[in-house]
Amino acid sequence: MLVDLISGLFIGAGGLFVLIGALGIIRLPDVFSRMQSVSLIETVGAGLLCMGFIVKVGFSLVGLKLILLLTIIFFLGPVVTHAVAQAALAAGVKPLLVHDRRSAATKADAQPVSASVDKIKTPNVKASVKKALPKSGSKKADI
Amino acid sequence: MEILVDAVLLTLLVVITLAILFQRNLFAVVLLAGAYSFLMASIMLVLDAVDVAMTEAAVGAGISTALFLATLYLTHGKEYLQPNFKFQSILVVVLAGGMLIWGMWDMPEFGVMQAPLHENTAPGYLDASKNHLMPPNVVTAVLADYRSFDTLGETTVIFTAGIGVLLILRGRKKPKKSKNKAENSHET
Amino acid sequence: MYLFATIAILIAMCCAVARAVVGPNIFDRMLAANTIGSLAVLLLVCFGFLMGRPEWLDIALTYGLLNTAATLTVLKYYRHGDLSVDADHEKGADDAG
Repeated sequence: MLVDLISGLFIGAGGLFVLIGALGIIRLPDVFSRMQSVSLIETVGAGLLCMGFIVKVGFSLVGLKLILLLTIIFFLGPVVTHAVAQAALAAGVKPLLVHDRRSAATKADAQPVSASVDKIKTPNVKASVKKALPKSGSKKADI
Repeated sequence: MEILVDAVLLTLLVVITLAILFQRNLFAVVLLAGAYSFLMASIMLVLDAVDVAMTEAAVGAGISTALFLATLYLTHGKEYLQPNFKFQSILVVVLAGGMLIWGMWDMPEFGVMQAPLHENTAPGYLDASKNHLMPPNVVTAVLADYRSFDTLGETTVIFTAGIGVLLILRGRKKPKKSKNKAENSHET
Repeated sequence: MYLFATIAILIAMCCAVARAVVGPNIFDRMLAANTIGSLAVLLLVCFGFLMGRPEWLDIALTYGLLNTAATLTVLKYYRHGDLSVDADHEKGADDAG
């Protein structure tokens, strides 16, 4: 009974987080902010769901598989989002910022931040993002 | 419940298919095709066709993405519009689709026990596979024993894949030199 | 609760598909496609428990790995314009700068 209650709580919370993440995918304004809601689904949502099922089945082969699945989603999901962010920055997609705090960072954070800013600017895509994206890809592909 | 999941997934499938049709950027088409095959695999699983679902996911999302990308390397990343509208091809497509729908009317209703398949063919196999000392699973018995010459190719493929996996697992120890080289170049 | 989780995942899938269809640039689509894959995995798990068939977890595991592999393949191609590029070399050059 208690097990059912706990697993139900976990699964309900997981479903709630999946819903919040879905709302974020629709409503947030640009790629980099949408990444956060995707990460929400892949870490908190999947984590809580799998946790609930693990509590439900206890120590068994199914539980072991669930732990494996949780490990895969929990660690590989953020890897993929990070790779998407890196590729987007390399292709010249600018994050939507009110003011760019990266250039006016404090001294302690200045070193890695300036390196990342340099990295963004190297592709020097001047045209609008939508136009530039297929172009840069096809240019590379043509060589 | 199953109906609900089926309905939602099939609707999403239709939406993605239309998006693929109207998309001109071929990278986006590759991505949408990957999403399509994941949805399709989910539908197959809901319909209880686990092996087909596995194949769809492995082929649709795994290998064909890589193959499409390898093709895009040779071509441009953008689809050009067809200069003129071909009436004959539309006619052929509509005719073929109409014939398929026409042929569907003769099929027995989905999941009905009185279908000829369940009345004539299946009971024979269900009875015989017990007596012939076949594998305990009837599907496996039909695939691997009754149709063994049909599935000879499949079995060969599976053995080849097994050999490949063994080679990959074994070959990790030998080429240490090249691995060290790669690490050194990474450090510098 | 299983039902609620399954319906939540289905709704999330709808949102992800909408984003994949309208997404203004290619990275939106990439992110949405990856999300659809992850949600398909979660759907398998939830629906498997709902139907009393936890064996589907094996397939969910395969999906999770395939999803990651497919997305990383696309990203690698987009980043380097080629699948057979040696990432270590380029990475070393980038890090030095």
